[in-house]
Amino acid sequence: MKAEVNGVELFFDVDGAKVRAGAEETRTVPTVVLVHTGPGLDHVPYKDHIGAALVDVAQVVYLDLRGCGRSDRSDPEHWNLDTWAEDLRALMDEIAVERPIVLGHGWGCYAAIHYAQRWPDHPERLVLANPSARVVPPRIVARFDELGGAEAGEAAYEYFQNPSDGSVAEFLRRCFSLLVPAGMSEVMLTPLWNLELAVHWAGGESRTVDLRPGLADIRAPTLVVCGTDDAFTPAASVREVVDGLPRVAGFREYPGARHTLFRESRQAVADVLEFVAA
Amino acid sequence: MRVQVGDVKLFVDFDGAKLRPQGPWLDERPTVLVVHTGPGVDHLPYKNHLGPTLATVAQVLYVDLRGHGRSDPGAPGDWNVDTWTADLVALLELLDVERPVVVGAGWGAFTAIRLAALHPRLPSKLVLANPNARFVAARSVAAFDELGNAEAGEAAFNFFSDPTDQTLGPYLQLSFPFVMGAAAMDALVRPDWNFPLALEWSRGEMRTIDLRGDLGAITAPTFVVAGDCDPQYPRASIEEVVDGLNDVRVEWFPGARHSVWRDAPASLGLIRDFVAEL
Repeated sequence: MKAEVNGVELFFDVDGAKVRAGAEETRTVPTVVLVHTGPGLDHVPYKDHIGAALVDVAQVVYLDLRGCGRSDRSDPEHWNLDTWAEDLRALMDEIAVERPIVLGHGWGCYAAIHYAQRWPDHPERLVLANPSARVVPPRIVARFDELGGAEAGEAAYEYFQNPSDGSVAEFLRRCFSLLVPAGMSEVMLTPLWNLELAVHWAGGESRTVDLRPGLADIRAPTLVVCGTDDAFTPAASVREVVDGLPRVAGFREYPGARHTLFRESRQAVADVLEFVAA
Repeated sequence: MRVQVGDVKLFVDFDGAKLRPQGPWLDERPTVLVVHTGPGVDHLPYKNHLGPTLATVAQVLYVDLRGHGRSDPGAPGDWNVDTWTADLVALLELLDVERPVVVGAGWGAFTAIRLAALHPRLPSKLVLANPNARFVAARSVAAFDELGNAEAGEAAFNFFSDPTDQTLGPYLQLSFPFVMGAAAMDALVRPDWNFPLALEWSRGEMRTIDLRGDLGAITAPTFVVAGDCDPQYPRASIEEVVDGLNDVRVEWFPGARHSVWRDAPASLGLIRDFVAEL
């Protein structure tokens, strides 16, 4: 489905009913809005693990952020956190999702956090999976070096220094397989990936974004889950998020899990389910 | 979720995602729009049987028609098949749902038929359960007498002759159980039944509606599932619909009453296969 929001058409999909007819009584389950990682990827990779599991306890709304997946591409001028957060809020208004649980993953945490700062009373709760409040290239480069060797570290360094079509290709070749389980690279490197957006982000807002000061404004109880071996989410950066949030409902780390935390850790999926169902 | 359609917000709910990863592939499933029976009741009963069955092969889109369930009541002057049809067309347009399979159950078949006749290219397929193109009081009264008993026939006669609060009570008590069986009692205790709408429609459009002229305009392949023991929607009136349709297959379920799938669960698999076949 698509909804017209802030002048663009956003693709969204829904799984699981909101109102459920039980044998005795009708009950309403929470709505979880899933904000995908990236930059430039789409919602699809969540459907066969965390999304499918959440349907047991919630209605799941997937969306492709502007510029991503099946949503309108829009233009680079609008590829920024203000716009993504506004789109997120506007989509929920358009389809009348009130007080959602917003689940951000990886890069999607920036938009989720930014939205929760701007509208502290809108989300009922937050789940942040592998979150950062800012991009600290030295930390990330060091992790790629540690986890993938000097060539991976160098490709990451080059990409952060000088984001371009050439350096992003080299970065994906050397580094992407370190972020996901074996065999997943081919699946996730889809033709829908908007690499122009990825390069735009890496050369622009990723260098200035710092959501740490606004974390204190977030009122929603937040569960933070994180894989310890996600080069994109160094432990010090996750710690900055946890330390800045006023209402941390839980902080759990999953040893060995990489960026695709929910694909790798059943425990992480179970912990999110428990939080959502509580 | 609720979506603004014209001057009202309509409640919509879902079962099953539209896009589903199957290994490395991404399946796009058809959307099935379920138009509930009535007048005055909502989409909920379908979540117990038809919806979950269809969700294995399609995205199910439930809606409460204007004046029903969790949707806005709207004005009594808009409680008619043309408005409900226009609402559905606008809803599908707004959500960018293309070529859905439209399911019209019982009273909902009036709106489904009108929609498919006015917009022959809109539905990819049509499923009608106990559809009638018009209401023939004499037939229904006779069927209540025959399938039920003399009291059921009399209460139906009194209600159809003069639908008021006074005649509705005996109808629900004495006649309605022969429409739904034990499930009738579940339906009756539900607090969200809109009785004023049921009365308004029974006094007005029910007496004049005649969609026999619409049937020839329908081009969508149509599957009619029919129970021969639904006194409200008698066999002869279902046959009128079948005779008027161009591309139709009908399956009769002996002994089945209004809720065909409840009385004849074998119908569920047939509908699922009809939805899934290319």
